[in-house]
Amino acid sequence: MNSLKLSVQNLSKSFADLKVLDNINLSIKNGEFVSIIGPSGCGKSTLFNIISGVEIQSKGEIFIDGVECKKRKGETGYMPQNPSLLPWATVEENITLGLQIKKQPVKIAKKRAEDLLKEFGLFEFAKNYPATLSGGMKQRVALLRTILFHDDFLLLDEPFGALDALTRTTLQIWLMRVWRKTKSSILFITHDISEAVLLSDRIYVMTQRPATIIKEVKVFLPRPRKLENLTRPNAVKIESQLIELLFNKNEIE
Amino acid sequence: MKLNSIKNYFPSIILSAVILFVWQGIIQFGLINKYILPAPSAVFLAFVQNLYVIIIHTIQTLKEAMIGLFISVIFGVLVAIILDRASLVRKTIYPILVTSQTIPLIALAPLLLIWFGFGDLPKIIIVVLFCFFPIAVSTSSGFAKTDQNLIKLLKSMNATDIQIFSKVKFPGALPQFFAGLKIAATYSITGAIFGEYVGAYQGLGIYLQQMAHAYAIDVVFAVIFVSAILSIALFCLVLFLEKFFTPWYQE
Repeated sequence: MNSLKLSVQNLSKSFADLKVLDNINLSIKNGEFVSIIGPSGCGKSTLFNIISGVEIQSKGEIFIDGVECKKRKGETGYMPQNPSLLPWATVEENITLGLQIKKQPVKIAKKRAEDLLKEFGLFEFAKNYPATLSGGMKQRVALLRTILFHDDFLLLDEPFGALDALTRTTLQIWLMRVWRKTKSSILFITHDISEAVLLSDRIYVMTQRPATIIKEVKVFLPRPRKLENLTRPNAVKIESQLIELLFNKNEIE
Repeated sequence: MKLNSIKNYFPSIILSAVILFVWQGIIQFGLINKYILPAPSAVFLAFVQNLYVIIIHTIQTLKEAMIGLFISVIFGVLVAIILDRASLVRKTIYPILVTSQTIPLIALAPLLLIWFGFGDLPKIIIVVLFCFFPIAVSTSSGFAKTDQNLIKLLKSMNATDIQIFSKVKFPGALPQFFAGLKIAATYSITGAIFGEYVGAYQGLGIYLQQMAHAYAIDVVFAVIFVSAILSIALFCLVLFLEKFFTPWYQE
């Protein structure tokens, strides 16, 4: 159970002369929720593109389930920053996109989509087009699509970054509910400190470009977590630690 | 929805009626000689009297336009796909495509007649020359506008190029394709009539020419009216297909 889902070793990436990622080392245990927090534009998305196999690293190795994995396309459930739903497909069709790509029989795909939509309260929207959904709904659909494609390893790239604060909180709680069911290993990118603390088992702190990991912070808060947990002394301590790591003193004072 | 769209056309229907009314009046009061400009009533009469002949010619023209339009769709979409595949191909073909549109068809039409005779083929070629370009350009810009995030997402799912095309690129380009097809549909009737005008056995174009030579101006007007109706009908057909195939797409 405690074996590693993902292990990234000495990973670097350069575009021409521009070094984006510098010697990244990180790992996720099976069923663990790990966040990467860092300033915008530091190369977090590039890291995800590499892990999901869309881009190729300049240096370093990536292990999935303990095996070095060179062609990683299809090995992860990757959810991009914006919901990226197909405007011409209904919610149900969007959710089964990954299964269509895997060429699963339509009947089975539909059944699985139906079950998932019912379980997480979206069934009434199954026949809707994305244009009729709110921003938060779209992200829920995108997350369910990701889970249906690959439920044991998810890469979530700032999924709630574009949402208003209230919707974001609702979705954070919803995500924890989904995660309790799926028991997925999750790597989660964010630039929101309290989001990272609320959701994660561990947090990696990244620096500006060229990005490297400067610190790993463990979050010892009981699960299932509630919003109130964020006001516990323990959580507050972690938050202030993260603030110190992310901002240099001059900027705060 | 239906009622609403009729309401939308109401002002232009009123305006058309007024124009027809004034036109009728001008001829009635002898302000313009009726042999120079026939009254709407005379045009309608000519239409009814020559209905049988007009229908025969209309069928011929419609046939050429539809076949030409159909070939243009296939050819135009094919060209758009090829343009999308590789930038080298795009750089090579695109300027040639644009240049092809600068050739005046009035110069080409007699040549086509010499090469392919008086049959349907030269007319269909002219319709294609008129119609494939808007379809190709429009569809190819539809492909170019594909959401890169979606392509990245499908790549992360290990989708093949064909899957990326069929799941994302093609449906995404459909609204643009229909925009091009709407233009092409209105061109197709004009193209067919133009092709016939140069020389044909049958069709509205050659009929138009014969009637003009015979100074049957009322029939000429009747034919112009029929060709306008045909263009509008084809346009509406495309609108219908667009609604049917892109129900998610609202302007």
